[in-house]
Amino acid sequence: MPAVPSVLKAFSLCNAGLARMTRLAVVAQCLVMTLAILWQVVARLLINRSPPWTEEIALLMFGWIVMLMLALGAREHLHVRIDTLVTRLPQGLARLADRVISIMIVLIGAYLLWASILYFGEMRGTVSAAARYPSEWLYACAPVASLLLMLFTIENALLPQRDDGR
Amino acid sequence: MTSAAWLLSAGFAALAAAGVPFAFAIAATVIAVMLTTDMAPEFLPQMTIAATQSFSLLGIPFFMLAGELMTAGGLSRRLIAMADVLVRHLPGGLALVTLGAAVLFSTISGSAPATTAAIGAIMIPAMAERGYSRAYAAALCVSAGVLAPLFPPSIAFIIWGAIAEQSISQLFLSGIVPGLLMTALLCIYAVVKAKRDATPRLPRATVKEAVAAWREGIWALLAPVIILGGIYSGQFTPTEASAVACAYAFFVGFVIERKLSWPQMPGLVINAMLMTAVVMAVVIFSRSFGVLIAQEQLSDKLALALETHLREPWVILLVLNTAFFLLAAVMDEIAIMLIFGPMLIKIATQIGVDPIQFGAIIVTNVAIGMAAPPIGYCLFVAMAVAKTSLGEISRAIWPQVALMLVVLMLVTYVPAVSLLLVR
Repeated sequence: MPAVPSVLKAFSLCNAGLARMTRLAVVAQCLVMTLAILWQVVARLLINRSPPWTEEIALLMFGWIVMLMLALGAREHLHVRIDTLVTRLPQGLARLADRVISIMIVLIGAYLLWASILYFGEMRGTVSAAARYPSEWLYACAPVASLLLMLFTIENALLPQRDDGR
Repeated sequence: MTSAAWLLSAGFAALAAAGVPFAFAIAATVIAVMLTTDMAPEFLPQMTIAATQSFSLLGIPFFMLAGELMTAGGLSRRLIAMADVLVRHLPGGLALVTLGAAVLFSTISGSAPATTAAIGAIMIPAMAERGYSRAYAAALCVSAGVLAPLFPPSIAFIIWGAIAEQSISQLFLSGIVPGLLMTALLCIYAVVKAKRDATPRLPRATVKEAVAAWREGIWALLAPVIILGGIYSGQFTPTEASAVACAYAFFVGFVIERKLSWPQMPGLVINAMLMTAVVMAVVIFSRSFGVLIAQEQLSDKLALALETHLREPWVILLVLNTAFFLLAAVMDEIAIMLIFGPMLIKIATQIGVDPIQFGAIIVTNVAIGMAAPPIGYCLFVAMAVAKTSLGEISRAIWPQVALMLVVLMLVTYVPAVSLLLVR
């Protein structure tokens, strides 16, 4: 394997750190999501009334989890695709095709980042119906995940043979 | 056709065929249409985030997590042990154990890939050791795994319920008889094949062994009782039941079995959430794709074309099933449900098919699509476990896929098959 330039190594290390933080955040969000729904069940059984905020908090966490894992899934090459054509190409062409696909995903991430910042701005000042949390808490997940998607996919394109203990 | 319609059909197909992951092929198509039709960019994030805010879909991460916790907690091994003592002495005994254990595991996890992985990891090596070919063992684990979408708490039914706005509890019930029929046909095939291949039979389990296996497995058996009992007694919604399943799996794994440990937990959560993201990535981008298809009236045009050329409902259903099966050969089943769902519902309503029965038809198709070569998702899961090639496993699975198609025909043309438990 050819030597990796130090700038790329630093970029990859940075991304590995971001991936670790993403995993930690998702574990914490999953815990909150589970406890919220369990509390909804327990409260209904004990006091015959479900708190109005549990569903909204669980869905807030779910929104974040889905968006963050969308980015992490791209880093881990987990998203479902038909690779029949790509795997039949000669090695050089297959690598090129994978890079073109990576560039396309980076562009999708860039568009989503721009569009979601605009949308975030539009939704500022509103609150959720029951839990009354600021809507920005939910809508921030899209720009954050788009940025991560871009960074992770750029890394995949530049360092296809990355090995950081996956 | 307008340029947007071309992009939504041929553009998307070209990207998917070129190897772009389905979620991103859908997103790229949506962005291309938005750019060519001057739509506000906020449309994409608005639709994407809105797709995550469905209480029904919230069941997906919980059932994925429950499956992970139960596998790590040793419950899948116990389920296999329980099936083993019952049927291992019969012809094709280990194949029957695989199918029985998969049905039990299905009623906990609801996910075909999770069931294939959990059962396959134990049964493929065990079957290979006992004289079954690796390709057949892997193919059988795939067939056993794809029973999961038919039994509650099926993730495919949760997604279809969200698309079709139908009761998820009723949809769950509609899959049980087709699931049992499929299991029965696969069992018959396993017995006949074992006799034909003269596969060696195992000794019958002693009463002592049977009692021990069932006593140890009682906690695993209680899981579906709690999940399904809770849903159908009206104590929980399916989503709440999924969170209760996680709590139960956690309790059994930590307190009763003592197989789970705190350091394992983050890894299990991340695995479950990654599997969720693979499904949800297609779901979130399909929302905007579906809106654009509706704007272009592609669904109406296709429905009209079908009605014009095919007048008999049974022919329309045959064409829909054939189209779904062929599409599933080149496309992700969840994406097919999401993209074509609204169109399919419109057609089904027009020809008078019960919406719950139609849900069962779609999900039976989804199950078969996950097992059918060349891109059935579960094939790849089993290939990784069995270390076999796609060609070998494809050859071994075709007879089983043919039997599943028989069940699909029954679900399609005999409403009682799916509606027996619903009515």
